[in-house]
Amino acid sequence: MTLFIRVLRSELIKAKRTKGFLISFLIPLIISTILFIVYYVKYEYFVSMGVNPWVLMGTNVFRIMGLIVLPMYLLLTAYIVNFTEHRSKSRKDLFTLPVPKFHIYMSKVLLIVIWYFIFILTSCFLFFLSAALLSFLRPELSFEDYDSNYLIIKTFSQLFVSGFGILSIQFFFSIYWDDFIRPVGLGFVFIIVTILLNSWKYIYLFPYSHPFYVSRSFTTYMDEKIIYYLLYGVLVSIVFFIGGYFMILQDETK
Amino acid sequence: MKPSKLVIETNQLTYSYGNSLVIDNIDLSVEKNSIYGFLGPNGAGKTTTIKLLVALLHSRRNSIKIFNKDVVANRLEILSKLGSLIEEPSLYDHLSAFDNLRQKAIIFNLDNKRIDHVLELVGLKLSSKKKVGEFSSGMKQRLGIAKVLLSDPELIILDEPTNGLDPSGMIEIRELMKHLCHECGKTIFLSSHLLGEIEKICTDVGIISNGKIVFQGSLNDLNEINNKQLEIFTGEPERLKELLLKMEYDFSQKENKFILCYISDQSTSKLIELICSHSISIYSLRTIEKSLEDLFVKLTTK
Repeated sequence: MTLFIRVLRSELIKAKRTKGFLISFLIPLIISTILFIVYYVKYEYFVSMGVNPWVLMGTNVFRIMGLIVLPMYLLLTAYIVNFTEHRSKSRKDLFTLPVPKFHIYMSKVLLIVIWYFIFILTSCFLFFLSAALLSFLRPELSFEDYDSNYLIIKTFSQLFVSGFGILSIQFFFSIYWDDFIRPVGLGFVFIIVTILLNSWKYIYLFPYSHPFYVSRSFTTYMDEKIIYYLLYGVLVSIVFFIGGYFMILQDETK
Repeated sequence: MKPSKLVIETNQLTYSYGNSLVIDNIDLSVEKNSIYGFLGPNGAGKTTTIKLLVALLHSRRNSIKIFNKDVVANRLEILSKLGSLIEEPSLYDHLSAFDNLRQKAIIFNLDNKRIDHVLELVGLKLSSKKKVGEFSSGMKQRLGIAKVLLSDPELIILDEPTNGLDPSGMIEIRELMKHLCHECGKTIFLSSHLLGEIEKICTDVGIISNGKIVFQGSLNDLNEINNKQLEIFTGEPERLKELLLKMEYDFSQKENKFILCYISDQSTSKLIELICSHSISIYSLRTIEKSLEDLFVKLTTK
């Protein structure tokens, strides 16, 4: 275990000053700032709607994240984690360390999951911060009249789990291909396909649709189905993460 | 049983990329505390052999022993005592030189003092905070060597270590290799396509050509074998040719110049007696020494 922690610490040093760490903070900050400005400036419009402002703002945030931002974030981070090694041609160096390949692989998986968790946590924190600031600066929005904390936190948690399918598939692609175009391009095509076919009844079989389902469930309360989709996504991620490990095991560094 | 002095030992090592045989029954023997030069032209199979030694590639048969242990079965134990630099150094451009070493030092549980020490050894102490992306290729090569030395390995495997270095850098690295071998008791296996480099620091040499070992032994052995020749100028080339053929000498002829393999002073004396007894006129007879370069070209261009 101590060896695994040392390998993970080594990964964290490598992750220093990479864009993966940066975008995990930057994307949530940009989304929250835009939403804050919109709600601050156009507050009268939102007040006139007369609905729970938490749900209103949550719907906006989750729609943006579920449809495009979260899948794109996962595409980029999976690429960045593996590209760091591809660019420095360090696979031959990594696999001549006296460390089991499983440790090296799992430390990378854990690193990307940590980044992803930071992304969701930052998004959630900034959502509540925006709401708190708006509640103070624009009390007319009446955030204090409602308590939707549980619903918001639950949806962010579901959003976190819903991305695992995409994360594992993109991680697999990014190990297999050492360039930007193929893994990210293919992932982007999958996102577009999901958007185009989002009303198809079997689209849930495609993990790229899961964040979108979560964002939709926020207002439509399709809880029961969502659990199955999330479980399916987790299963897919297990299969792809194991597949990635076997690919590493079989790979000979030529 | 007497413990083996061999640090690297391969037994009929063979490897193919698809249907193409790139390593063909190689038997390497690298002794402890030696600097073994693995010499061969580009594409001869040097890097593939090194990748097999460090278990990045796998031969169908477990035919490699390092520290007297099978490489495949004892991979992690062997890798903990081995440092390797294969092809170009694997460095992270976005990190400083110090952080490049630190990420490896953490795995080996080494402190920052060790990092400073190896940076000093390769002359990069003053550039330790600089991003590697801003390094010249020579500096990267030095940092790659520092990374190899970081864990203080017993066996150091370097693939073309002086690539990209300027002449003074090459000399420094050579001196460092000698120091590590002679003062610190390390065994060094280094590959190169430059004979001059091997000649300057190595104690033992293996020459590979088209995936086959064409010579293995000490540098002195290499100097000895087939290195001296007899050159005879004669006024009667036809008669001399007839005599040499009759006596079954191995020779080459260019007009009135004959080149024969030098075997020993005694055999040379006998040859002179033989020529004199047939009254063949000789203008000159001398021993000539072929350069190692000539020998290398001869061995690797069959």
